[in-house]
Amino acid sequence: MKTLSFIFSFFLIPTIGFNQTSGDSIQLRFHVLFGDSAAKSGVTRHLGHNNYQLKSCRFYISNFQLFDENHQLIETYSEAKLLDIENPESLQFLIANSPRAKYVKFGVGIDSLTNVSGAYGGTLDPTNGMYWSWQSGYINLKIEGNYIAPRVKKFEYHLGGYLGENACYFTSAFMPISATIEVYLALDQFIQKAETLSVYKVMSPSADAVKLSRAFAQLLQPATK
Amino acid sequence: MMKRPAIIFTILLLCIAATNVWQDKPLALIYPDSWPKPIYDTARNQITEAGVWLGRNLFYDPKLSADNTISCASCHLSFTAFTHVDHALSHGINDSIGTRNSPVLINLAWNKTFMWDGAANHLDMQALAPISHPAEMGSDIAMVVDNLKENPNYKTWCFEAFGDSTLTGERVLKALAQFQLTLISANSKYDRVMRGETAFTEQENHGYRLFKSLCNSCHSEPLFTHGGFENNGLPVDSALNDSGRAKITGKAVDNRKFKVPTLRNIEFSKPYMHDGRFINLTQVLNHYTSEIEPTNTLSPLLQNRVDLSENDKVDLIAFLLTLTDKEFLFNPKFGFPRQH
Repeated sequence: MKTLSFIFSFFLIPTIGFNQTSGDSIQLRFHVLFGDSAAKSGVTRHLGHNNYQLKSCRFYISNFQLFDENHQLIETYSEAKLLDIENPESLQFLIANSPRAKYVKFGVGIDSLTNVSGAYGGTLDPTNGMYWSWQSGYINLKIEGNYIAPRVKKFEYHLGGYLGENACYFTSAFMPISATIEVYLALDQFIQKAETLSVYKVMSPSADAVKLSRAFAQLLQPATK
Repeated sequence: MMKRPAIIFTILLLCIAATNVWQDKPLALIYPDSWPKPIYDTARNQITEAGVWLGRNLFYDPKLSADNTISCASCHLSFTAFTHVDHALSHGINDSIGTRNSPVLINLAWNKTFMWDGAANHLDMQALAPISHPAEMGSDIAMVVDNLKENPNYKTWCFEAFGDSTLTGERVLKALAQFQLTLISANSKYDRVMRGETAFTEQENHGYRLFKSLCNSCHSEPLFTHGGFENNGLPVDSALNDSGRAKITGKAVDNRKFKVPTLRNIEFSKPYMHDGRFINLTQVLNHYTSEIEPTNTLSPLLQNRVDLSENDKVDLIAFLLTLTDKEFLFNPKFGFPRQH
């Protein structure tokens, strides 16, 4: 029995320490907000002249890059994370740190090389529903919902594309490194931006997908001190 | 209470399983030395006997479709060059008719893109399209995994192939790709002539000279396709209004361009063209000699008139029949998986 316990303890080690920070790792914690409160599906919100309900918000973050104080690249980690407001655990995770690192940046979406390299598993497994079936390519961001009053209209943003002028992969701003980096996304501003463009549906790579993807990436900001 | 030897044995088994010591036998792709290297990079999906077996079973399993009636093999039959003969447009669940003829599955390791419009940029990901299309299999990859993951055979085969019995989307797709990568056709009469093992007849030889003069630019040897997209002057079928490659790129310059298919095993892969409009090779050649519709995206390789007499057409067809590879068409390793 003692022998079994000793052996099995090795399998538990990787699970210990998740959500804890140390000098060797940085925690990123994402806050997807509507106004001052967390964005949630099925909750009626007011935006401009309309009430709306969010149905889903999922997006990929990938390719974490660490920079020194002069913004010189030190390290890149090519892993991908799938963030989903319906899965709060997905909104916070650890990445490896480096002693010289002062800033971090990450990709919003999946880079073009991954898009042409075949099947992947884990967060990139196509069973996650973030890969187009009718043509190759990851869906970097899925936001769906409905305007419910006074306008009644569905909105669906499936933003992706990796080729040429339709490439939708953007990188975040530089974020100062701390033990926990709080990253905020003002989702209401994104939906407002789309409405300003009169874009309610994007289901394939396009100029609208690029505009909205860029806007989304720019809305991801670290906490201000 | 387990005795000590049993405990140690159990621990050893767990350690072995954790380290994936059970690696299946790798399978090399066998192809002529004169061919270019395959484009498919096996670094991320090593072809193994177990992987091919899993993929072959998936390929023939109608449980990949929403109503358990349509498998990949329903539209890609091994005896007919892995395409759907006698159907201009392939059909799927609920007798739904699609918008294109299923392409042959031959020498896919050398393809850069897949499907008539190149919608799939990697062989691994191609299967997602027919699995999800409402007029083909009407399912989706998550449902496929859900349907199959508790099947004891698939759990065993998945373990043998990937060292883990958990079926995932990635593993389904990679296994299907592994099986399809083995579909290599390189032993037709043409190939035997090229190897110096036999000779064309006079008629076939004449047909080969005509081929090299008029067809080789798009249907380049030895794969009999250059792998790119061309508008070969087919008038648009107004019922289908298929813009081809332009549907994927959104570019007007790609309008009515379709992937140039291989001509290997063409004897068995009728009907022809992306919409199966031609039922025999004579109709195909008649199109090239007298029915090409000039448009601004017409292939530059077809700007000049194609001159073939009726005798020339017969000889050219005689040559095309030398591309039949019965070893490929009737290879028991490609057919329904009866035995492991």
